[in-house]
Amino acid sequence: MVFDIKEYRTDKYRNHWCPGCGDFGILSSLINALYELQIDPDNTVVVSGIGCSGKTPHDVNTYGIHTLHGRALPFAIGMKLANPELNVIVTGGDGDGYGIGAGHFVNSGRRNIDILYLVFNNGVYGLTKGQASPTLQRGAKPKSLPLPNINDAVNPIALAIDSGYTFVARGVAYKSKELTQLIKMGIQHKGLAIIDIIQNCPTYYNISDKLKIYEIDKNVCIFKKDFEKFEYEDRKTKEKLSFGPFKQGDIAILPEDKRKELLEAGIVEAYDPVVRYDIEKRNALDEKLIKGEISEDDYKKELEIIENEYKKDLIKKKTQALALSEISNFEVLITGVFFVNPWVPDYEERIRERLPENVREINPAKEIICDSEGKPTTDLTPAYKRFLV
Amino acid sequence: MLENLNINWRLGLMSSEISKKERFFIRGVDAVALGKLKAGCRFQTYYPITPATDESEVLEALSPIYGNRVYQTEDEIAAICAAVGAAEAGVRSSTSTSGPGLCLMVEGFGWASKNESAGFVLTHYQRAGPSTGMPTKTEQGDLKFVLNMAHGDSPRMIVAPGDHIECFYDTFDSFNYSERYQVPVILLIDKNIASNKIVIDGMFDETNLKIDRGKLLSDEELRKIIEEKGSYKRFSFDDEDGISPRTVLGQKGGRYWKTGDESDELGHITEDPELRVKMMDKRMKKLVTAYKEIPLEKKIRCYGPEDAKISIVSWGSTKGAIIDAMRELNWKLYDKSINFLQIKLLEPFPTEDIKKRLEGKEKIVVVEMNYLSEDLRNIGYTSQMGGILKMRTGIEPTNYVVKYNGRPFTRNEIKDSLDYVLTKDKKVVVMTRGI
Repeated sequence: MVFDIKEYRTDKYRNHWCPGCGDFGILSSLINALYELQIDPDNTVVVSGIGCSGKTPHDVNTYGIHTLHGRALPFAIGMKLANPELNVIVTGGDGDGYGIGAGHFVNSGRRNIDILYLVFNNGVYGLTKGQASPTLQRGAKPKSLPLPNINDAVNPIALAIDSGYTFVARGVAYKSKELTQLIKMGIQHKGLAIIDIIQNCPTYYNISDKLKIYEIDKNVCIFKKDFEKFEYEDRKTKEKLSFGPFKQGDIAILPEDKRKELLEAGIVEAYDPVVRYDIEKRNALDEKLIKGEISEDDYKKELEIIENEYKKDLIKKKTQALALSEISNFEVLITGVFFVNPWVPDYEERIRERLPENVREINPAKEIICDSEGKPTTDLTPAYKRFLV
Repeated sequence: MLENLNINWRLGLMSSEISKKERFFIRGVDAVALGKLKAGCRFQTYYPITPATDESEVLEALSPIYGNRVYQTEDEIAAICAAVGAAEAGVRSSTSTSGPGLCLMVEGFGWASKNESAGFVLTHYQRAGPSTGMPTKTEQGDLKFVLNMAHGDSPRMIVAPGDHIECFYDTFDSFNYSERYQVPVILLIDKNIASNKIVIDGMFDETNLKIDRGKLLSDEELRKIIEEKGSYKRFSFDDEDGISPRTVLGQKGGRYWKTGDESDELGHITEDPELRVKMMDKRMKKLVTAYKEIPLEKKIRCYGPEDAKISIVSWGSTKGAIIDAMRELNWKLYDKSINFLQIKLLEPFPTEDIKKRLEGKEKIVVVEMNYLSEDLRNIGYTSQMGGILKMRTGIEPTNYVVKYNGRPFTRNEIKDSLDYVLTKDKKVVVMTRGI
């Protein structure tokens, strides 16, 4: 290991979070993930908005840019487009990302820029003393609200999937091991990744005692056939629970051992978040075309079949993720990866596609713009042609 | 002393000279786009708005040649934030907008100013306001706004080119200013220049163009600083001129923090009263440094007899009409000689240079395209530049010639308004011609 874990934490700054704040768990998971992946801190920037979460960059010993309320994503996108080699991680709160920054949240999805976005979601505006945030459910009454919340909550997972985020996950601040793993996956994902991280605000909205946490990998499954109602007794609590009946295609949250049993019996299948594309078939088809073994028309037909299969799977994966996100909230918390689509080109790829080969490799931030005497290197002659009378 | 700078400002369409050189038909936005590329700007953001968008379209059309990135954002807030973010990565970056778009950019601009963003230029094409106003009509109504936009005291530089040719050179200089003084620079233009076309003979003369990247550290220089001082501090107090050496995102060993909060030398949040005062002093001092360093010809330009009794003071796109009128009058009216002072650098305001040239004048006539009425003047109001002149130099304009119907001044209007001023001593002349 080249970088020690200490390398990733600043020693000069200490944040102002309350004791017991979920932010501590997120911070240490982020640092662990950076360390485990041995990300070069000099080539990494953590960008944040405003709120308690906004202070995160000051505790991480990479480049740290603490921006404006709701604007972390545009700042981060500017950095990434200017220097595509940078590792860019954005941290922000629920009010920051889903409220004041909602426009940027949605539109960033359209571009699939290779950035990881961590949303610290606690249902309240903690830094301004606990007002209702966009993820707070109607009727909830955190400590500082004089009356219960009058607004409905947004569903950030569904919003992200619909906006075009290509890696969508949910974590929880206390489960550092799982969260570290999710952050690592998010960093490695090529494209726009979001992890909505449910956390406690011990001062204004304490949810830790209410939480029931289920993991997608351990508790979630999809029924392959119809299945009748069944009773289940929790081994620890001796609580009697009843499930079902289920129809084919139903998504269910089951106790871990029961899910395993049904999985082995072939009654359910595990939840698979990844959209499939038959790349092998596609490659073989492309090769056939190059070799002239297939006519253009037949190629188009075959390609359409592959593309249609992909579209079908995309719709299926989106639908199941949306359904799962609808049952996940502050009380019934489902963590893990909801949706991954590795087949959407990221923004950098799209830019490069539009540029001719000779300028495709330009990294705007590293372009030499003048010689040692300051003489500009840009030759405007070809540009003037556009304006010739 | 007034200098007569014989520069080639001529509006091409009126030229009768036939040149053998290649000729180019350009708008103000084209001149700005070319200036940006020449300056090495490789990152432009925008959100569609009249008349600024044309500039970004030109830049995008040229991107297959230069590999420059043009990023269309979801709103002007994202446009300024992305451009300022890109500048952090070390690219010379810019955004361009008009009236309502600039209103949305204010918070981002404040952040850039507080964080000593370098290499960031904002082109602002003024159009008739307030609010949506008259989107396709011209005005010089945003001077007071750009001078003060963002809360708190924050440094910025403002450059106002007077014609298409100045647009090219001023755009080029603006990036140098931004990198040298580590402040966001506003290039203040208007619709009149943005969309009007002129013919230029040959390409712009590039012989004297020089890029100045200010205190941008090379890896070698950074290593030396760390060796000498033990660590690198982005907002170090060590430099007398208020400008700290800077690194860019991704640079080995140059890690820094930035925040909209007040910060210490490393860039971490602080509310310490002593640090606050020192940091404010450091940031604002850069204005003084720029004021002292920038050469005269880039601050003001003077035309006509230096010992004239009457001085016209103006800025921006009124230049053409004023010089045309004055040439026709041979720089005098009713035996009173007249000269013209064009202010190009609006912030830091060239106070002393202007004072020297305006003291002892019989009349100082401010000409600009924004609002004033006789009634308002009677209760202490001025036109926008008139007010700034008064505030910075203590010299009060004697007369104002204003226009706010969205149409540019004509040379006849300038002549007629001077006639009112000289024969009737009309304090506020409002011109209203144009269809």
